[in-house]
Amino acid sequence: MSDKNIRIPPSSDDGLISSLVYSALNTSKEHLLRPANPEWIDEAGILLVRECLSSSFNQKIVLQQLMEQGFKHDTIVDYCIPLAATKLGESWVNDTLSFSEATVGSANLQILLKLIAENREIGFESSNGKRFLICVHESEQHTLGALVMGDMLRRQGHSLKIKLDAKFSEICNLQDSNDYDAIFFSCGSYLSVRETASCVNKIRKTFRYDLPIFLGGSNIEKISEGIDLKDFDLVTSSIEAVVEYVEKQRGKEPLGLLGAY
Amino acid sequence: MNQKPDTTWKFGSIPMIDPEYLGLVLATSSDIALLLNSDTKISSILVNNAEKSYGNLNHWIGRKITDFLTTESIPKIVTAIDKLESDETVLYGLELNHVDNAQWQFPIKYNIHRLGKDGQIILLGRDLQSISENQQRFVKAQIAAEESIEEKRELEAHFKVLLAKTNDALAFVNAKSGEIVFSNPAFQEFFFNDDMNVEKTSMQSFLANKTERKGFMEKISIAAHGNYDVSEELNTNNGEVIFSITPDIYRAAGQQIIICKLLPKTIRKQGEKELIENLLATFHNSPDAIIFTDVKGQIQYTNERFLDLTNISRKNEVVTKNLSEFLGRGEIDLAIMLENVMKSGAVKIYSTHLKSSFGTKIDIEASVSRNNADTNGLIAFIVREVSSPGNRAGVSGANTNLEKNQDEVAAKELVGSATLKEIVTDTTDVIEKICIEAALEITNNNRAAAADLLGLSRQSLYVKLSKFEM
Repeated sequence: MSDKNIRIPPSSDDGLISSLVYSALNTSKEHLLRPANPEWIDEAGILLVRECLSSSFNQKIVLQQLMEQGFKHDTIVDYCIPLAATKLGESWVNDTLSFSEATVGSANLQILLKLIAENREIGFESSNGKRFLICVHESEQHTLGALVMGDMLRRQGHSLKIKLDAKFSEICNLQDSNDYDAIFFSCGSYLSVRETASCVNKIRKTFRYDLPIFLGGSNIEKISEGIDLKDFDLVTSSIEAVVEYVEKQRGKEPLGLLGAY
Repeated sequence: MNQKPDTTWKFGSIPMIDPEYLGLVLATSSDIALLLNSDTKISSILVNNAEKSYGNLNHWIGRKITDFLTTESIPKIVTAIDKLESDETVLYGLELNHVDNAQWQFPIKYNIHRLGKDGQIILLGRDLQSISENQQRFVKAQIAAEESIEEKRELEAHFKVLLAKTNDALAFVNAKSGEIVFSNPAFQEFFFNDDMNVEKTSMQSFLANKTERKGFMEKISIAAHGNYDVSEELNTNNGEVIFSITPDIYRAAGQQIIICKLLPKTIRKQGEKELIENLLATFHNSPDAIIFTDVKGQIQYTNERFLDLTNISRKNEVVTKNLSEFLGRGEIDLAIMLENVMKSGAVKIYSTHLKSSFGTKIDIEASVSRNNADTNGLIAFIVREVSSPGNRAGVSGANTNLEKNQDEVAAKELVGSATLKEIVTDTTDVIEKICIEAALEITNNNRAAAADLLGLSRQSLYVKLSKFEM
C-alpha cells in the first residue's frame, strides 16, 4: 500500500482529529484577525475617540468592543490608543474639539490603558532586561505617551521607573541612586521640548559619564523644529532603536536578574 | 419639513451703533478684542475693564499676532485668516494660547470676523484661564494617581520576588470563602498539578480525602485565631502529604486573610527524599531539644522538646528570640559556644542551665555545630537534660548517704582543730580554685572568657591564678 492511500480509520481518532482541526482554526483565527491593515487601526482609533468623548464612557465595554473586532491587547496599546490620542490632538488643532474635551478624551484613553496593563500577566523573570528611567518633564502635561511606551518596554522584559511631572533635581537624584541604563523623555508640545532640552543640558553637566538620553513623542519631529537637541543621543519614538542603542552602549547585564517591572 | 429660522440679523433690524459706543460694546461683550490689519499686525486692543490679569498689552500694537501665540496655536490662526480671505465664514471658536515673555501663557477662545473689504479682522475673545486652571488641577490629580500606581507596581515587584525566593509553601486564603487569593511558586509546585489554576480555587480542594475536606477551613481558621499549628498528615490530590500547617490571620482591605505555611512531608527531590523525611522526623521527635540559630544566636527553628524544657506552649514565642535568653549564664554561655563553634566548627559538650518560662533551671549539656562555612549558615544546638545531684538521689541514694556521713565526719574533725575563720578562709580558697578550674575548662582555657564567666576582672583572675599556682 502506498503512502498516498493511507487513511485514518474513521472510528479510531475522530475526536483527536476534530481537536486538531479546532486548534488549527483557532490559531489561524488569531493570525487572520490580527489587524495588520492600517484601515482597521484607523477605524479602531475613530471608535476610541468617539467612546472616550462619550459621557457614558466605560473602559470595559470599549475594550470588549475592540476585542470582539479581533484586536489584541498589545495592538490596542501599541497602535489604537496612540492613534486615538493623535486624533484628539488634531481635533483640538482643527478647533473641532475644545482643549477640555481633548483632555477628558485623553484621560479616558489612559484609563483604558491602565485596564489593559492591569489585566496583563507580564513575564516576571527577565534574563537581560534593561533598567530605564522614563520622564515627563514638569513643563509637559501629556502623560499618555510615556505610559504607552512604559507598557511596551515592560512587555519586552525591561524594568522601568516612570517619573511624571519630573523636576531636574528629582531626575538627578533618581539617576544618582539607581544608575539607570538610560533616560527617556516623552514630550507632546513645543514648549515642553524646549524646557526638556534645557533640563537635559543641565543633566549632561551633572553626570559627566556617558549616559544615554533619548527624546520621544508621537509628533516629536514637528514639535522639536528649531530646538537644539544636541544633548540627546537619539530623538526617536522607536523602542527598538532605543534598546539597540543601549545594548551597544552598556552591554548586557548578568543573566537571571529578577523583576521585569 | 421644518426649516431652521434664520437667526442672523438682517441689515436694518438693529440700529446703527455710534463708533464711540461700538468700542465699549466690543470691550464688554468679550474679555479681549484684537483688531488686525491686512498684514495680521495688531492695530488695536480692547481689554475688558473687569479683566486685570493680562496686565498692559499695549506693546502688542504694531506687531504680528503670531508673535504672541504658542507654536501650536499659530497654524490655527493662519488657517482661520486664510478662510476669511477666501470669503469663507469661520463659524467655530478658535482656542489660542497666547504667550508673552516666555513662561506666561493664557488661553483665549476667539470668534474671528472680517470687518470689511480692506482686510481688517476682529477677534473677540473669551478668557479660558479658569477652565485651564481646572484642567491643570485635573492633570495633577491624574499624575498623582499614576504615581501611586507606580509605587504599587514597585511594591508588587518586591512582594513577588519575596514569594518566589521563599522555600516555604505559602498560600493566602480568604478566611470567609476559603478561596486561595494567591500562593507562591513553592506552594504551587508542591500541591498542584501544572495545568491547574491555583487562584480562586478553594483551599480544601487540593485534599485527596473528601472527609478531610469537610471542616478543613474551619480547622485552619480556629488554629489561626488560637495561634497554634495544625499538625496532622493530610494527603493531597497530587500525592504529597502535608506534615503541618501554620496559619496566621490578618486583615487587608477589609478582608480577613489567612496566610498558611504548609510543610510537606515529602519533597520532590527523590534522592534526598528519605533522608529529609528521617531528618524531619528526628527533629520533631527527638528526646533532645534541637535548636537552629543564626550566627548571632537568634532562634530560627526549634523542636517540641525545647518547648517542653522551657515550658513554652508555642513555637511563635521562641522563634526570633535570642537563645541566650534561655541559657543559665545568658550571653556569656552563648558567646562561649558561638566563639568555639566559629573557630573549630563544633563544640562537643558544654554544660550550663536552661531557664524555663517559670524561672526554674534545668541542668543541660549542649553540643553545637555549624551547618555551613559561610557567615549566613545556621548553628545547630542539641541540648539534653542532665540529672542534677538532687535528681540523682533516687538513683543512688545509698552513695549519697555515705557521702553525707563522710562530710559530717570531716566537719567534726575540723571544728576544734582550727578557728571558724581559718576554716572559712581555707575553704573559700578551695572553692575559688575549683571554680577557676571549671571556668577554664568550660572556656577551653580562654582566660578573658573565664574571667567574664566568674564575674572577675581579668587582672583579678591573673592574681588568683598566680596565687593557686595554676
